[in-house]
Amino acid sequence: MRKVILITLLLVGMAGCVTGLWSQAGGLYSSTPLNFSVDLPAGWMKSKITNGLIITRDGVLLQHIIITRHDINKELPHTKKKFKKDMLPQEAAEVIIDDMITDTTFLNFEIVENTPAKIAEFSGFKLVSTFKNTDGLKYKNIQYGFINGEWFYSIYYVAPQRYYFDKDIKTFEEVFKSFRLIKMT
Amino acid sequence: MRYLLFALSLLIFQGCATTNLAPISKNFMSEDDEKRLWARSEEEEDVLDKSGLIYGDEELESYLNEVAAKLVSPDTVEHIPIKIKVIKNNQLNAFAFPNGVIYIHTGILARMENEAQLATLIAHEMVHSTHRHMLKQFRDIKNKTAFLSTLQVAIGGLGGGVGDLATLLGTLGTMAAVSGYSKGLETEADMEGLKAIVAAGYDFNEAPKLFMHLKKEIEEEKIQEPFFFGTHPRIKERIKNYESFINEQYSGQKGGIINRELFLEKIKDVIFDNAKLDLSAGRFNIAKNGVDKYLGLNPDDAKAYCLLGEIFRQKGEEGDMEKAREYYQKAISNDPVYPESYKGMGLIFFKQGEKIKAEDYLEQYLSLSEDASDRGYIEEYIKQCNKEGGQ
Repeated sequence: MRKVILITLLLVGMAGCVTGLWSQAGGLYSSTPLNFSVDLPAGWMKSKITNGLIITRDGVLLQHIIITRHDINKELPHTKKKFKKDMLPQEAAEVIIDDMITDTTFLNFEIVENTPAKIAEFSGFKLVSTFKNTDGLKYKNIQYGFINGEWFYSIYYVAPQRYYFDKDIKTFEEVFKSFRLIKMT
Repeated sequence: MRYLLFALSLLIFQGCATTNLAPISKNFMSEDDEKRLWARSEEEEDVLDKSGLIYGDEELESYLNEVAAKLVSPDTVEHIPIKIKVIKNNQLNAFAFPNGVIYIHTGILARMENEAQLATLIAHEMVHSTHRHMLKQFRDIKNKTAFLSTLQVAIGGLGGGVGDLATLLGTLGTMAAVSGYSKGLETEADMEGLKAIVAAGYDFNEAPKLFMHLKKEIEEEKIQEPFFFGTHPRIKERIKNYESFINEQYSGQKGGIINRELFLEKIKDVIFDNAKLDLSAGRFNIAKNGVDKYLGLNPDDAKAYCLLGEIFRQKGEEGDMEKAREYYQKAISNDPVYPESYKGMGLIFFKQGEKIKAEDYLEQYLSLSEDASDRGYIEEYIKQCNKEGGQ
């Protein structure tokens, strides 16, 4: 259990702790306080986390999608770097990469892809990375992110690279495409 | 949980075993609980070695092992082969496993000034292994309550990412790297370590200097790290011990080998790579100090000037962009085909709205770096420059 929590937290990164109970996902999810909405797949479970939402179908170790909002004025968990309002998407991606590099639990961490991306109508980045846990299990992570006003939004999917990652990548892409900000800032 | 089970098993097996253990030397026979500690050490080392965090410079490791070999007797090495490895991590840390494998972080290596200081650190850590401190510490735990609280501190009670760290280092590594040993055992490591460096002919005056230097940096940069050598009280304890032993035992004697030039030549890449780690960690001033030290050894190095440019560009405080531009420009003057300097200049001009200059530098970056991993971003910027430039 400790391992599950640890891996979840390291993957959740800025999101922090699971704060709500798990419930069935499916359909439109809208969070006015966090200013985003997203369509969730049926058959998955959802739970609130400190700054967002986590969903999984078979358990967080096997796959999960996290949507978070982070105050750019607040520190990240590992690097002391902060986001800035006027950062280019590439610079924001570098802050995320540096946070991962500084995190000693991401073993054999490698960036596979770092490219510009549109998230809803916003200019952001797409990062694809791999890493191992201490048992040698390799995970793959796709993360989209962008800065809007005082907030950094991030949507990402993590699963063991072998078998599980490919299994739910399409579901993740659908969740990603449905992401919207409720109010523009 | 597995840490707890492992430690409990040691506690159960050790029964009333003695803590009065002779250092490893001729006629050494390891005991049952010691064999388990060594086996456990190998497992934890295996995780570390496969973590992607090993610095992996064979020439450097060979040099470090040569220094270590001078500090230990052949009788001891026969039973406990000492092996030094380097971890890519910017924090002030070094630790030894009971089986003689010592890990040194690039963070502490990059702060050292000479071989005598390196020998001081290696000798201190080596004594923990050769004098069987881990076994003594485990055996010395008299009751379960004390034992559990010790373990809790070792694994997760210190904050600052120690819980995460425990996952990587395991129980033994975390105890050695984070909580350290009892005051008595640490003092023994200082004293016996000092004897070892003196016997090897090193200048004992360098021993406290290493820790004074670390103390100064911890204070000036307000460093807060979980590791033994990154904590202020532990560093003060080392300085006090070394100064007192030098006064008592070596007063009036001449120093010895320092080996500054050779040492700095061997670790210069570590200094540079560690500065990059400090930049990733957002420790801008510390990163700059590292690059400055590196430039002291390689005054014309373009990539070091470019890294200074990066530090100021990413820090982004008032006046930093001007400094960044100066450093990038210096890097370009020193090496006109080093691509990263052009990218840095291009990004600054792009954000400042000077699109023509931005385009020029970014084009040069792409032409010098055909396989640039960030080509997608750069081409976007160039497109925007063209669009806005044409309006």
